[in-house]
Amino acid sequence: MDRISVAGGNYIFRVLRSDPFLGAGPNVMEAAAVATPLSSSKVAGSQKPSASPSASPSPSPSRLWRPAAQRNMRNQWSKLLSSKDRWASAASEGRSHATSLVNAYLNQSYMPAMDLGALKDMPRIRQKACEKLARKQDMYGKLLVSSYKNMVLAVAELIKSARSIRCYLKGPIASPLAKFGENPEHENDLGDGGGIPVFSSFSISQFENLAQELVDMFVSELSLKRFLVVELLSIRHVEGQGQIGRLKWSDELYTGEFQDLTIANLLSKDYIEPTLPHISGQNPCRLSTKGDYLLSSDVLKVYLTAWISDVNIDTTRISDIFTIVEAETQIKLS
Amino acid sequence: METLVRKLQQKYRKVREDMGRWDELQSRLLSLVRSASSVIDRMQVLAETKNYGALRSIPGIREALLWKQMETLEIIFCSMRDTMKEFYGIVLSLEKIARDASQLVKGGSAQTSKQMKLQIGLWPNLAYFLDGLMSIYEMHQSDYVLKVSLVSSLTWNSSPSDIAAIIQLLIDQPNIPKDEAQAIFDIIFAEEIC
Repeated sequence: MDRISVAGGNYIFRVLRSDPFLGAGPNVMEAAAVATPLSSSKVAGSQKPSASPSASPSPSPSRLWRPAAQRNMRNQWSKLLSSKDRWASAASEGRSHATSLVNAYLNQSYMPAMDLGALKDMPRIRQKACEKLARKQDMYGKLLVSSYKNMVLAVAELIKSARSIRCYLKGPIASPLAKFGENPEHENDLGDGGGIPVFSSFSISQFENLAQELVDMFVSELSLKRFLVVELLSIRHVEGQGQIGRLKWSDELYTGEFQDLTIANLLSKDYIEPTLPHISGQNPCRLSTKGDYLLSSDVLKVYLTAWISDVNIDTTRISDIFTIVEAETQIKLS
Repeated sequence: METLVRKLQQKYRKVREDMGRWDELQSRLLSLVRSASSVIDRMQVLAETKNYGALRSIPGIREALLWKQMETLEIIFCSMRDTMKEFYGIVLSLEKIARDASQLVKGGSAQTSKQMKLQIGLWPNLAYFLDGLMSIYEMHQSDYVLKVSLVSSLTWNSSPSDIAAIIQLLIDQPNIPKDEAQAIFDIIFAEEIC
């Protein structure tokens, strides 16, 4: 960056510091015209005096992106919050379906030994009960997949919002229009508004980092939840039929799942199967090919506990993030 | 005399409010202990590697799950401690009521022991008024002490049978015989019952 634009930047910074809320006001905008969201010196060099409608020392009105970026920031963060809530409700639905599925399975496995009292003389009573419980398992399995699908979609929404935070210039360099997303129109446009605070102190990249931190937690939790869904849908096959007909990790759980997972970057590089879950700070997961374990009720209890635990989601940190953002953007998100 | 009795009955009404509050806290404490119990139960299952089934292929899952349950348990313990503080607040309030009543009677017009034993109409004598408040306070005080020791004996590695015993003692509140407390109120407010 050359000297002039540094000086200009400082000047703006002072103006904004004195009253950050004037960001959208006409006075500041005029003064703001000195600064540029493009951080490279090339831009400063490319500005021609004729591009400026005002007579301010440095001739770019490009600081006009700020009001739009503020609006966008508020929108994206409130979307992030609602997607997070969508996730939470899908996860809790999923939990209740998973519990019902496990209970139906356990009841079915207890059926042969169950004392039916007076009912035991009814013809084929046990068999009928087992068939009914098997149908229940099918039903809860389908419901579980639909909750999982909602979780995938919630994560896709989160990612979409997190990727719409960057602010790029639209049209010619000096144009006041901004666009939000991932792809710049201009080379060297980093989309971070030159690191200038959007509101009072956070730059676009700082907001983006917070959003990314949030997204990362949900993406890794989604992967663990998928693992559990696959296992829960396979419980009937662990005993009896063995591996025949058992769901594989590389099977799509619903049509279009893999396409949805690509958004979350959860598909392996060769796009053949989803990436395996892993706990942060730990080695990656390695699937054992054979189901060499007994499916006791304790194992199922661990599965359900793993479902509710949300091990990859740090709720305290999440509420901190939203508190920080609320304070910075001056809005109440929830 | 009549005004004094009315004032003392007023004290008993306050005691009744405190006891109502005590019952609310009691049910809150029980539900906390039950949640703690199910978390502890879950942790014992989670501690065993053999219970992980397919999840065994995810390194670190056991530690992560146990850690989460620990956190949950810590939150429950924290609310339990808060609830115990509120119980203590009630004990203090009951003590204050008993003390105030005693001052009201003895400090006022220097009652002789004869006057203390004097019974008028359906009302019990003044000594009974004071004793009743005192014994209600003592019941709650000793049950509070019991609760504190029960709650603090609950840890993440308590055995299921210990937990069951703790819950039973908490439910029973052996130091607060319900019928005894009720009998006191029946005598104090005898006129209202008739």
